[in-house]
Amino acid sequence: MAQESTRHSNAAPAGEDLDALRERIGAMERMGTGRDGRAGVMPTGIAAIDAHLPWRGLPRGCLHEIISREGDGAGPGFAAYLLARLAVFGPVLWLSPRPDAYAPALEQLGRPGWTRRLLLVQARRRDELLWAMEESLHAPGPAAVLGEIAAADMVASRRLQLAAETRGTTAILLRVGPIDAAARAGSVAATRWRAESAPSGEWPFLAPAEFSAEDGGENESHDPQPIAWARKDEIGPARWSIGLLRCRGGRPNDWLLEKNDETDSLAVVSPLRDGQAGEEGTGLAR
Amino acid sequence: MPADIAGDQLELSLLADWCGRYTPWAAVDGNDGLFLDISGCAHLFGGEDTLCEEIVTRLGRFGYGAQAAVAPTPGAAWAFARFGTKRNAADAAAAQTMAEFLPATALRLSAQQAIALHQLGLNHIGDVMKVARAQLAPRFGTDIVARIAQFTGETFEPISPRVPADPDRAGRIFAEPIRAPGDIQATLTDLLEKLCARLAEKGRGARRLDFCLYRIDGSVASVSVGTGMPALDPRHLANLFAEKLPRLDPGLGADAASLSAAVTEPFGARQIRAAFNAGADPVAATATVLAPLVDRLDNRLGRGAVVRLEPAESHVPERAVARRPALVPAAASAPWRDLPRPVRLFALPEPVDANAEEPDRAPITFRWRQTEHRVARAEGPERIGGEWWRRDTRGERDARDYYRVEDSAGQRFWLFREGHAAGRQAWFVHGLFA
Repeated sequence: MAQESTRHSNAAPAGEDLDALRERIGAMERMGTGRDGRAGVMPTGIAAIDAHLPWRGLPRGCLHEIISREGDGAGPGFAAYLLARLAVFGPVLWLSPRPDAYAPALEQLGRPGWTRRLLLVQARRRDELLWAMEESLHAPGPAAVLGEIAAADMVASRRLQLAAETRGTTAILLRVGPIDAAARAGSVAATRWRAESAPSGEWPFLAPAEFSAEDGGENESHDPQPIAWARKDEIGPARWSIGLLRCRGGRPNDWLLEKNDETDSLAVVSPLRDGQAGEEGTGLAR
Repeated sequence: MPADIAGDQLELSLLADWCGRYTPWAAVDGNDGLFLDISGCAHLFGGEDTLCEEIVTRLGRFGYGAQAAVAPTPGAAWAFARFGTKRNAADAAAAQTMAEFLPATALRLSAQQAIALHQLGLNHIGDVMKVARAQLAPRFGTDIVARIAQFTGETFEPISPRVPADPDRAGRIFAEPIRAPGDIQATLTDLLEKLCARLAEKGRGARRLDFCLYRIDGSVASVSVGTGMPALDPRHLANLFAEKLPRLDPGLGADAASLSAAVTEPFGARQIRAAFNAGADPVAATATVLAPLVDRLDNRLGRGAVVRLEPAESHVPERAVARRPALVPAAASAPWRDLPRPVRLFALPEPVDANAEEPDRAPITFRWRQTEHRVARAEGPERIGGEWWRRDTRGERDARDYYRVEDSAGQRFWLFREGHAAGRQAWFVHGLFA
């Protein structure tokens, strides 16, 4: 409901004439195609997510939010994954109070060499960071701007959305903090995601059973038990639990993603609780 | 009261800065003087007499009892300012005749030299001049001859200005002191246009600009902006100043302003280089487009706030990434090494309470930021040797044993153990895996 009321306050003042209003509605409907008509959707590269999103990808020139717990690497990981894909369109900026994004790992979340298009910006204070983010969205050059921030209010998110529209630059807010509070906060973002680490998967090869079966003929006495134990202890491919909490014109959903270290891509392991995720997010679903 | 030589020097250098409003060639002389080379400047201030008068009056208003003189040479000006009765001795012939009656010490002599001359009855400059120089040198030292030559102008005595010679500079004097932000802004815009036009003629762009306001109380307020690439666009530079102008305090008012390009670079060289590298380096290709933004961010957030990341030759995780200025074209760098590394690496590893049952294994539980984590899976150790040959590292010289650890909730951490002796082991969280 809070969302609805802010929508109204966002609407045109009484004095605005109908043409201007039509223009605004038109702009909302064109969202994702960019002002100059160029295709403005960036596929996430994760088939299930692209199929679920109403735009078949993430609309560029919009604000998107990723919510993540403090001390969880999945938030910055998912953000970097999206930023790497956006870097195809031009240089990308990562703004943060502490520049602790670590390039060797970022590099593994996208196409080789994508970090050459990445600029890291340190803005210690919240107001500085929001200023820098807006400034970067207004400037020619960047394809996407990511800002790490604990909390952004309605006013800030609306300003960022407007700034993102001016040049069709994609804005991503990485909100690091308690998930529940951030998920309830108002925002005009086109999408809001939740990113959390999940227990890693299993390596797809050399399952202990197969191993012992193959070896079985020669080494009947070989005990597979220690091998199975060692495998269980090892960390498998990284998994993230990704939730779409809000989506303009779409439904919330949850996915369990697994990273393929060979191809540096993400794939859905299995859909979780399809359609019933995020009680907080349902207010926007249409 | 003992003389505060250092304090005097500081005051003098501030006054020399202030005199930058009259001429770029302003230098501190000894402990009690300033030299201004006003060649070609005096007419801007209503002639030599008026200029002299104005400087003395203004300094008087600041509380300095100053004496000034204009003369053809620094030596003569020194003498007339201290011992002369008339301020203007700019005419060379007039200077000669007037110098006759100045005391010999006006030649900038040491006390012993002056006493020695006095004992011989050589009290005035005129007397000293009459003696053949060949006779003076053996008795009083060669420097007395040099002083005479400097006085008459036979040897040229350079004034070393406090600012570099021929600075790229534009200035303005106001009839009425200005204070209003709008006036300051308008002045800056005007000076930027002048200076950029001048730089453009030379084919140079500004890397650093200093904007100075000369306050009526004699102090100078200044702000500087820097750019990542040589810049020539007055609007872009005005934008950079816009962030800083509010911090520029004109005090009770400023009666002059100057804008100087302290650092310039050939304009175009970098841009051409960037275009040349375009195929190899996408950042360089867009550097020209990004330059205005990077400059704005750098000037507001602090120098070095915007960086690019490049692989560096080091095993130590903190030093494996080099932070480079955003706009400097990338060198052909080696690719990143494909190792399991965390997506966040803390600048300072955070100590944790770890509970390890066996000495060479990952801990079973650890406590980090007030939260207990149960280790479900672990990999390691990866031993990373300290760079013991470096002197600037504190506590990093020891080898560290790094473990990748996943807790029961699925969060993945990069832990390391330092120290090998039992009981002296310490555990740290150094990063978070995606």
